[in-house]
Amino acid sequence: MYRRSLGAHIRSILEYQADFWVLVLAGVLFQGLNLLFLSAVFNHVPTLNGWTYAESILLMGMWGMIGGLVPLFFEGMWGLAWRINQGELDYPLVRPLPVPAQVFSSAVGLHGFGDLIGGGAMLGWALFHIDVEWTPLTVLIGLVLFASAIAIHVSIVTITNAASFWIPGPHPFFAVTVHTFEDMIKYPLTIYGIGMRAVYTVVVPFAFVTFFPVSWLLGRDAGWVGLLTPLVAVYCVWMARLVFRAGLRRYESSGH
Amino acid sequence: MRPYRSLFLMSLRRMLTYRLNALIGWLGGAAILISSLAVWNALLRNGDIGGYDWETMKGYLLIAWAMSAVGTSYGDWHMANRIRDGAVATDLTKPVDYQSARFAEQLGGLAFELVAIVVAALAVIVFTGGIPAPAGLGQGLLFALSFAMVVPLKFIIWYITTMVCFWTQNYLGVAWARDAVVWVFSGGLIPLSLMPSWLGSLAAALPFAGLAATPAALYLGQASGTEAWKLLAVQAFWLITLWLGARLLWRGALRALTVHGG
Amino acid sequence: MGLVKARGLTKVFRRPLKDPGLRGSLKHLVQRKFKEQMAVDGIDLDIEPGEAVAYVGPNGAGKSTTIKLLAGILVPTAGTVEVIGVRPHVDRMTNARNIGVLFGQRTQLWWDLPVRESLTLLRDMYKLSEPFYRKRIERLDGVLGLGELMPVLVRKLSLGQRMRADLAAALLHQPKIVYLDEPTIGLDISVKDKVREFLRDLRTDGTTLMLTTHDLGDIEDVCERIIIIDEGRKIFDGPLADMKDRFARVRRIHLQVASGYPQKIVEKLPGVEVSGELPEITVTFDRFAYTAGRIISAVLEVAEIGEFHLEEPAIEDVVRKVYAGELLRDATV
Repeated sequence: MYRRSLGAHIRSILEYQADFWVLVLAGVLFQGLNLLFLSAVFNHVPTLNGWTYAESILLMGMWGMIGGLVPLFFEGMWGLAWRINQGELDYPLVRPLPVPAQVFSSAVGLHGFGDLIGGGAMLGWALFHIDVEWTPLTVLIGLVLFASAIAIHVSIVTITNAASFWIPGPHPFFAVTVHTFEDMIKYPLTIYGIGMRAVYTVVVPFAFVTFFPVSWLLGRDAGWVGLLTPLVAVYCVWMARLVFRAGLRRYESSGH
Repeated sequence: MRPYRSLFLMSLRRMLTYRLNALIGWLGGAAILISSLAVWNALLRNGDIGGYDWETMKGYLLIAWAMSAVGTSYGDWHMANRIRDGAVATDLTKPVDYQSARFAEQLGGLAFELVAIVVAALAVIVFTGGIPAPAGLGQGLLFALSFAMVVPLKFIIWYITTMVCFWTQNYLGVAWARDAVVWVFSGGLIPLSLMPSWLGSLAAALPFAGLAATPAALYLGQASGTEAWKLLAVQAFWLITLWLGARLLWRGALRALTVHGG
Repeated sequence: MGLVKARGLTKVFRRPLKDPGLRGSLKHLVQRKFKEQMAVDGIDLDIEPGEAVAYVGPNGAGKSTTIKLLAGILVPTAGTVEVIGVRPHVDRMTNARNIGVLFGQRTQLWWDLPVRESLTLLRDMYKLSEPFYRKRIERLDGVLGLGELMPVLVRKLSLGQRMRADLAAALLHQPKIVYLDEPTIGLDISVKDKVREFLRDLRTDGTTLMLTTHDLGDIEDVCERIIIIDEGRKIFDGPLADMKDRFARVRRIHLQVASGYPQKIVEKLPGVEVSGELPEITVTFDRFAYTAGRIISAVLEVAEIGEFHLEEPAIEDVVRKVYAGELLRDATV
């Protein structure tokens, strides 16, 4: 059913075919910018706090892949603020489907295809150039961590957008602001000061979206923390459900 | 002159009514500035990169950010949406030059953007211990000149890309692609001198360098004397060329509009 | 067994009390003051299966809020509500399967897709079997003329067409009870007639209807029970006929009098009021006391009439009168 809803939206957008390609191009460009920045910096410095070029590209590529997959499947949450403001949650609430699922699937960010291409290219290249012992177990754990990272990111997007249940207004400014800060995890966390690292680990678990899983894969010192990612994911998803449900109880619809 | 002045005032008044909204927009913009400062602070912790130390980079980032803030209160979406939903029809019936009228509106938001920039500068001074002063009075004046050109230059680039809306319904992809291109070639992503040389040379030939790189270089004293005047000349050249080019494009746009109907 | 049962249903909205301007907004960040707005105040409802209930009241009376409480969109501040034995805001999805909802001001269809796609999506959402779906479409096509709308993009539909499509969408899964919030708003008379015919047809299936509207015609044509609310409280609850007998007694005839002394009819017909200035005269009378014909012939005896038109009492007038005159609550059948 989720798939059908998504499909409906993809078909909606494909009404405008030229725009599809422009969006994909924009996605590729966006990832290209990230790559450009990192490459330019590495032209001037040999490592980033012990992280090599390939390792940094791996991190950035993972973030790019997430930035591609999530908009394709979960974009609708960014429209929550507008929906609350317009009273457009009324119909979803009278349908026999979970509301978050309906909200998520109500929009598709087609630029995600472009992000997948760009991010995927970075990830693919990096995987060939890093020093990792690949075993079936490593691959399995890697995939689990990747899925957990996505769950954490989607939960954060949900919670920050759900703030609109408490802070009225048609724009999810809080969620956008938090996302801007989250974007900083495309660089190795170790470059930041201890304060920021603490906040990004404990207060809002951004670091578990890219840094810790990749640290584990690369076998770095504190890499074992990466294995906690699935637990963090469970916690985040649980929090997201709690917050969203609390928000729905507060929902007042609009005058009509 | 009068109709443009009224448009400017109306836009200014509109900004005042939506000031709470504007404030909220500032928070989002602040996040971008803060995160870029944090990233570069971290990168420069262990020493210079390409001749930029933390003090210089702070100044650069603040200027680049300030230049990017200009023109955002009214923004291109306002014009784009009016074309997309057909409200532009009313605009076209007014006895004012469409291009200049939109520019007048943009200027109405400028006062607010300047306030935001001052506030940001103060915050950066307070929280990071100061920003570099202009490298001399002469450089400061050159910077002011460049800044004066950034305002219309930014407008005309946005204006030209917004005209795409006369031909297509979906503006989002175009806006993003343009933002990405401008971000890179204006020096917003990374100072042009830090980019690989082939990109840097390409950037120097494009109009976008005038949006951030040029004013920053002048302020920080990285370009002086003839070099400075050359940069200003390039900036002016693009401003004039694009302004006139937009007029040509406009005629095509009008034709497209009548074809598509109401 | 009552289909809908509500006891003491209450919904209070907290509205922020802010001073105007930027200063006020900032002050409110620090000093949060609220005022409480009682949208629905202790309402009891009992609706039996198969009934068609009109839920009316002035703007802001709490009609939409009540519907949203029954649909599970809003959570009650106090009181209980059960629809087919299910608490709407607690067992939301179970309740959703039993109900159909139409908000007249908004569409539930997917804007950029043809109507057909919206309906097939809904078919899958409600897990309807293909034969059932086809039968429903056939039925809805018969009464609503759905067929011609199927391939059209929703954003290209006129208001009347969109309303028909939304009605089909709300009823596709054949719910036992349907809530219609202003289903005829903005529609021209021919479409209104079609919608009302559709609603009457629904009742032959045994579907229960609850409809909010400002249009007396909707009520007359479709419902036999009327609940009037004002300021969140029930003012009247009973058969439509009773309500009209008790409160909608006043009628007005507006006349264009060419010459004569229309005021004279007051002598002949006690209780009748004549107001206005020549040539525009208004005669106000109790419809149980006199028929319109009687009034006209009485005027013709003393004056010459050009044009005239007969005015029926508006629901708002009735509500106002009930509230001011005979503060009636919970009049039982």
